[in-house]
Amino acid sequence: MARAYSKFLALTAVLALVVSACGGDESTSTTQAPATTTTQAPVETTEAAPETTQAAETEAPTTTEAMAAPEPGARIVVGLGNEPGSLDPQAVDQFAMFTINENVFDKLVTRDPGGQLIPGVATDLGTPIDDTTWQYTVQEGITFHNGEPLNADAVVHSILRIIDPDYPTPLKDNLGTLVGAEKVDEYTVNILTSGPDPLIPTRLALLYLVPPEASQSADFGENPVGSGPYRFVSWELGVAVELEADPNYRGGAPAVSEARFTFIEEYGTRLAGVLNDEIDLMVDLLPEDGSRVDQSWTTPTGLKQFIVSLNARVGSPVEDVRIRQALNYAVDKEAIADGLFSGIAEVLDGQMLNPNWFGYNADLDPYPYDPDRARALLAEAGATDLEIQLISLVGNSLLDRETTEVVAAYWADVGVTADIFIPEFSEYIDRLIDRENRPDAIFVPHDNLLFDGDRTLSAYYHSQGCCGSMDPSEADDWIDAGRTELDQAARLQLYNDVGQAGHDQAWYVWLVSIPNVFAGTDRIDWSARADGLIHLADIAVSS
Amino acid sequence: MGRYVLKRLIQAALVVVSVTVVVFVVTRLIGDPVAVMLPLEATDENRAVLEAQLGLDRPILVQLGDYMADAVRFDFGDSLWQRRPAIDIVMERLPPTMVLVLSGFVLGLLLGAVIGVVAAIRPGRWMDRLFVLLGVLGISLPQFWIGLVLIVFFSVGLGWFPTSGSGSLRHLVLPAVVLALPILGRIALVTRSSMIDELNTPHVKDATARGLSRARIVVAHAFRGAGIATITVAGWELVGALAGGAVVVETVYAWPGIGFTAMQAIERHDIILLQGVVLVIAVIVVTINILVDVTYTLLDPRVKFD
Repeated sequence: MARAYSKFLALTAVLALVVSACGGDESTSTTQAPATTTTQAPVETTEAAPETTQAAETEAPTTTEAMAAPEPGARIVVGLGNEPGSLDPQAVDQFAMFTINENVFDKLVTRDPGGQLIPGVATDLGTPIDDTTWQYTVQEGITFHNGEPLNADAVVHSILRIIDPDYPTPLKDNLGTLVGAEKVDEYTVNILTSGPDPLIPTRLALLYLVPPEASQSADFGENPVGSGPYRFVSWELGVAVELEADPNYRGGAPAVSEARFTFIEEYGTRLAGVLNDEIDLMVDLLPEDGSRVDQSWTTPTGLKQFIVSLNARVGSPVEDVRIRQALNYAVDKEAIADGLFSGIAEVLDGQMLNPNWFGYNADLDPYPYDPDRARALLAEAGATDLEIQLISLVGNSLLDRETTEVVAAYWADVGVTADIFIPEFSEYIDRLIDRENRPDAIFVPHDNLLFDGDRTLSAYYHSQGCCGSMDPSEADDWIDAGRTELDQAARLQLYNDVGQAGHDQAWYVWLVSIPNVFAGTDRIDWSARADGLIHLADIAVSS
Repeated sequence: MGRYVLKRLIQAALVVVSVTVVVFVVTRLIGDPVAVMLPLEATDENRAVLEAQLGLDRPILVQLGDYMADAVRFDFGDSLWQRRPAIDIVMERLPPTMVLVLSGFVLGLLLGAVIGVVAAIRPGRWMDRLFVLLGVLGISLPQFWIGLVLIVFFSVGLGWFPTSGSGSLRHLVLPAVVLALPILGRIALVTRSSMIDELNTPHVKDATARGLSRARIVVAHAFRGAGIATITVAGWELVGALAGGAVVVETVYAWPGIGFTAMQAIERHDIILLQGVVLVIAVIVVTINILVDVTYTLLDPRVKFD
């Protein structure tokens, strides 16, 4: 019977492969098309603009004729992995929430597809009028979807709401020095900080503006009201969020007129949805599945930085800089990027910052793969039988445990024994932020949605930061100075100096930077943004 | 009978309270929700603030006492993830799970019982062997794997069913079948073996001697005796489908039930919501157990209470 069992398994597996390889492109397109046209027509006719006469004409006749006509506005389905706990854009720190709300809400400052700061609903990136005040002017005539005006009052309300000590939100870390806001006139606001803060425009690029009236309702998290290109329609809990284009949007109504964000945690199911044309665009494609889908996209630069922190403090087994440099030379980062990550990952340039983050040092290069040099340095430092603990985590980021194991294998190659320890996640955090007992080595997947070196360097290159494992140095002073340096050129120089110091001291083994990967059907014309968010308004759909 | 049921209800209440206490303590020992909610590099200050706002900085016994005091008033706390009453979320997600679990259960029970009975009529023949093989496959194929295989085969390949989601009968078919498979397997095997035993008992032989038809003997005499074992297993299968199978199947098919909710709660360390899910499942499980015990007496008058 065992033989029969394995035969069945083999047969099923083969059949499954064959069917998935050659099947199922047409099967669902017929069911989708009528649904799209029928739901579209009423929307178009109610917004009686001159251009809609075309749509109105096609609406009346039979379905076959309606299908033949060019799609007036398309409906797309986006497959997300996680469901957000709330759609209150100030309440939770979940990427799925940002992905949806980026289409519903506006910010004073936002980012272009390449990741550069650009004005959002503000007229410019803001002006520091003194050491503790940034002034912003809001574009006139913008309203929330419920009719409330987006003016100075709305901005002040949005800021006071999120900094309220009684309002529990994990997003306070993004706000730094922000302590208040004042209305100057109908469209002008002063944003108050506890000290000079060059990051205010950056911080405001993560702060969504909410309507003063509607956001006080207890169910705002389930019925969000924004001012962006899309209006919230419904949230079927555990299933999907529906949005529709705002026909009166100031930038013109977008091409995609309806969007459904579905929540499918199981990766294989989500992928099957794309293969079956039920999902037009999905997040978090595994690199090895790139050839199975019509299209895939990666963000132009990585969003997760994979590094191994080394304990440079006196008394640590890796306190000698030569050992830490050796641990860098020992690891073939190119091989990790190409082999483990199928070429989608980029090798970090001997620093934690990405090229499109403020503070990136363009003069730094990765430590090359040179195991002989690593062995020589270890011998020189008298560390021929080095044994250290390497803490890591699993299931938090793409291939995190696997990357750790590869690093340990490279180290073993030069004679360093790394004992990998993967604790439960909250214990991992406890170890990562333990100021007293620093781990010998700890793998960290770091991201920084602020795209500014301040957060990364304060946390990882400052001896008093949450996660740095070094003794106090000049870098501490440079980071502290940068935090209040309003001259951006001077601030960049400070961060470049910090990056150089960290590189020379080999505080980390800088591995690779992992982009977000998306998959989609061929009816989508789109490109991935640097911040990994999905702007529905940028998507074009062919029928 | 009335006294027996009352006694069982008191026992059931004790079980539910113990489960609540154990789950409460265990979930608070194994992980810190704040660690999951905040970025890796969150400042100690912000960690402390959020912990205090969620009431997680108090001693665990104080937290437990408050939880029990609130629970008496049917307040089971607010989900950390969704910021609204955990029990509301669980109750919203319960109907889809009931639809799925009951469909899968009935499908598995009926097919399993039929297969078991048919297999037992001629043990050792090809039909019996085929059915036993089917039963063993149903039990041993991992549900998440067979779930994905069915999606690839029937949704992506043949286009008969949607790959995931809910809302129509077509959405229900694949998850219900996957949930039914192990139930079908175990019910079939148990029914088969107890049917074989029953068919060899004196009263069945006596019935055969009296010249009753084979069909009548199998259904009215043998199955009535074998049914006790089937019901016992069926009770367990229902519990297993609800507390285990639903988590896997709902996650694979993105079916918005309490199994999927449990998965979401675990991933986000939402201990309050997880507690709510476990509580509701515990209540249903003890209820099923009582119902199974009561059903025994209806099937077999020899079974007496006390």
